[in-house]
Amino acid sequence: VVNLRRAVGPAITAAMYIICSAFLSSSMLQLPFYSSYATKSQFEYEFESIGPKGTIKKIARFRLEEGNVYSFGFGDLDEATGDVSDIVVSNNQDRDKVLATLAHIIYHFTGNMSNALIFIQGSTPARTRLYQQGINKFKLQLEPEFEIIGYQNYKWETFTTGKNYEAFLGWRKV
Amino acid sequence: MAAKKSTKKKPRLQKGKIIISDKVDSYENHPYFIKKHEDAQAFLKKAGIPWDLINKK
Repeated sequence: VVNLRRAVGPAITAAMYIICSAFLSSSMLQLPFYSSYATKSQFEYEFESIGPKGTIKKIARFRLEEGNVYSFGFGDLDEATGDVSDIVVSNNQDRDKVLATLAHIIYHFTGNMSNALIFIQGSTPARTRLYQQGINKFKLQLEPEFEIIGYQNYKWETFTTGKNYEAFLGWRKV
Repeated sequence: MAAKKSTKKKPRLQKGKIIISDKVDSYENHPYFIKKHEDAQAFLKKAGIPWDLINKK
């Protein structure tokens, strides 16, 4: 009986692991995203967008602004010139995948800095709107994890779909 | 009649694959991110940080 238990035990454990993994992955919405690389400090991240326009290197970084407020900057790196910009439209047909990757990066950063407030603003109103579209698109996924507020008409308020904001502040729920 | 509370599980954000690498460059002093920092400082100075709203949530 002991030998049988020894032989069957690991198999049962493996089967339970597979069942649990399957249950967990089915309960979470699977969003395609790119794997990212981070510096040891985990303030800077890189990933590559891959699409019809080729491979485009994307850079994201957090910077402490004051107290526990960190600004989040993001842009495309032109590897030939070293320029970074969030104004260029890369048209790599992976906008949602890029936005999902940014959400994962923020999720990762705020996992390490649980009291961080993340300030997000695009370089132009059009870019800010793109970030807003991203928040709208992933609202269901973000809501259980994040509080998000937006700035509009000279005041901060709870983020509401359909409103145009100038900037956003988000933080992890405790 | 009281509204029935939804028992439907909300989808959660899947944990991302983030790989720590010493090959990632530092962009701290890159003009683009310095400009982002200056813009953020200016905006936060203008708009303020809504601590009341943050603490209420």
